[in-house]
Amino acid sequence: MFFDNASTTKLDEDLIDELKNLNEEFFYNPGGLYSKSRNVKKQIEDDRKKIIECLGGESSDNFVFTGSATEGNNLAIMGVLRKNFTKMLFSMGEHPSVYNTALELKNRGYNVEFITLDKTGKVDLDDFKNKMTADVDFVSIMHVSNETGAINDICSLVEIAKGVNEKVIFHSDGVQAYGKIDVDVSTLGVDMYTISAHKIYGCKGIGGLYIKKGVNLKPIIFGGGQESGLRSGTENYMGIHIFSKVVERAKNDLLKNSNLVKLLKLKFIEKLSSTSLKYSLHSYDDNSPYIVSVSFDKCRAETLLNMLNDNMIYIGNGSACSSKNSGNRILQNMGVPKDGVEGNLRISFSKHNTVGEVEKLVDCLSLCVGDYLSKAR
Amino acid sequence: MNNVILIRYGEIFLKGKNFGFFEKKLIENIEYSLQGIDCKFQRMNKRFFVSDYKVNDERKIIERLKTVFGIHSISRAVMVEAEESKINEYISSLSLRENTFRISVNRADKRFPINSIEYSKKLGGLVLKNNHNIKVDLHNPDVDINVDIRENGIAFIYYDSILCLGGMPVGTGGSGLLLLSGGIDSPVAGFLMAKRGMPIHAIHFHSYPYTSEMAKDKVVELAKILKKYVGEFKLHVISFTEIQENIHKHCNNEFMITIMRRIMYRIAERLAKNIGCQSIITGENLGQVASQTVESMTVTNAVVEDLPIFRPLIAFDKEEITTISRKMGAFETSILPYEDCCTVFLPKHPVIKPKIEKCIFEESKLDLEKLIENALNSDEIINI
Repeated sequence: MFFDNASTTKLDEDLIDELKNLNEEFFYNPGGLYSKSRNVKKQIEDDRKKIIECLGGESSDNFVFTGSATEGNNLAIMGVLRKNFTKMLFSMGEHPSVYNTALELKNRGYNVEFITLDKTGKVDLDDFKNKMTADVDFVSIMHVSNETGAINDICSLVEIAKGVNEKVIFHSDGVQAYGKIDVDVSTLGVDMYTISAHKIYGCKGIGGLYIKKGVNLKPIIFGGGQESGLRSGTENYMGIHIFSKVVERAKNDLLKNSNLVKLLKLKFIEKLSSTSLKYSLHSYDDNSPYIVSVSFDKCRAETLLNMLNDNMIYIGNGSACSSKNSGNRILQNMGVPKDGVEGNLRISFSKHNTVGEVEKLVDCLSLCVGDYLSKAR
Repeated sequence: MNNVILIRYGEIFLKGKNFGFFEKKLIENIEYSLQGIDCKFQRMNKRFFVSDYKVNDERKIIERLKTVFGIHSISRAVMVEAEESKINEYISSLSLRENTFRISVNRADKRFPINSIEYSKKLGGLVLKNNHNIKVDLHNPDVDINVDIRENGIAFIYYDSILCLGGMPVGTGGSGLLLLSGGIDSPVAGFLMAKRGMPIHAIHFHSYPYTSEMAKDKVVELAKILKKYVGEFKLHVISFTEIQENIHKHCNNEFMITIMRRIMYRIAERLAKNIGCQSIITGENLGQVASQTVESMTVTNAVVEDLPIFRPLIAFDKEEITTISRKMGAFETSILPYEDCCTVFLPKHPVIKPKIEKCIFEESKLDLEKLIENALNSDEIINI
């Protein structure tokens, strides 16, 4: 049973056949001048248009395919960066691909400030209003937290930011949002928005950055000038085409999937509360239903993960990308006590999970925690 | 004229009648280290050298030789016939960019017609003649040219000397079972004992599910790093979970670490005897943590009946240990942040000066024999 769907998801089965087909007909390098190549190039442009449309962008906007969402986030930040930037804002809750890039800029001498999180894991509105001064050039705040599922009200944050400085460039990391909650980049008002394929049943190795018309980016990878010069390197057409398919599918199935996942989250919490286990939830009712952050009193997450692993239940401890690091910046910033941070489990659902699985998960958790506490506490 | 790598051995030259035993082992170890590289290893009148290799393999050969205990230093050299004209020709062909030089001749073959001092002067003249901006500096030269004339009609000419590990050839110093934890110290302890010629095997205590599989993988990685210096060995992974749970359940928590360690030593001694190791090696270091006081070591030592316990790091500072860890290439792996089995059940206030009577009393609450037997039965042997 797989409950680490915020780290990655399984490629939709029917797309494996599609990949075979793509490999036969569309393996050509889109940079070639022969008809087969030009055809691939044309397909890429169609896929790009489709993704922009699904995101709610205008046809004049751009979407750059990247090798990952991490690269997309890096392109957004490092590509927009100018020497004369006076101040840049990031939230304390960002994924490492944004947070560590921000730290790097700080090390290089840029004026970088971080907005703290409130108890529910969203950016603290008062702190944001305080730090969002007229000299801020760039803001990056994630849409949905990969740790807790907390949803930032990007629309209001953009409104506040642009109200103070209409020229401010606003980026949002939408990796845990697109396909899981309603996303429309025009309504959100963002200038740039990052998404990833493998979090919504697509292939790994492909992500992308939505760029509103008028936002001036410079490349961070140089070479043959693909992707309108913003991302050199032969286009990953197989990944791109599957990406556009899953983006479209995620939009069409949004309600169906989120109704299922809402039920899963509800069942999980309901069943958990009916046990005698002592736990604390770090995810709240208005969060994305896809992620539940929970810690069990006096239990280290790693041990519980190992115990669940032995029962063939796979879940995450915080962000998989940073699980090697001790502590958890995000929960700490939310004010979760040390014990809760060390015991934090991230349970994340997908459309493939069932109510029966969730019930088994809670039963197993109940046994493991009981076993743990009787032997080691 | 041939490119060769000269090998000088260290302390074993002090050996008398048993010199042959040490030399043989060193030769075996050098040959083992050079496995898979197309080259020739030769021994000639107390000189070892590697020849007949591809230029691109030179770096690889040097890196491998730098992992062999018993080698004092190595030099890249050229090998020429020990005839004056040939040596003169080579020295005349040198084009040096340095500002100062020194040239020294060592004449092992006393039949060579000119004595060392005279010949050094003559060769120095040739260097000066062909390199106009260079000067002689006998005390602190930029480049030090050495001409070594051997008995068998061969001369080696070399400049640099690369200092190697020294020590004794592994396989000449008994054998030991290393308690390998996954931290910085224990791999260094194994390295240092191997430096004195001791081949090792290792034992690791694993506490799954309280520690992760990744913690075990890390220990395997560290063992592989040690392998470069000590050769192939076996890593014994022993499950310690049941023991920790039992201590936790039945014993005074303050004695957790002390009792854990006493049981680890008992298991280590039994395993060592089973697999023919003559000693136990640990990375303990006086005063580093609560379990490494003299009092703690006394009570842990007390359970080992027959074998000596070697603690090569006992008087080292952390910084000194870290330096060796970096040198052997283990540091980056050692600091990966996975829990080891000592940290899981860590009491808030471990006893710092345990009394042996109290330890025995606490242990009387456990079925020690059964726990130790179960642990030994859990032995997972990994060939490193």
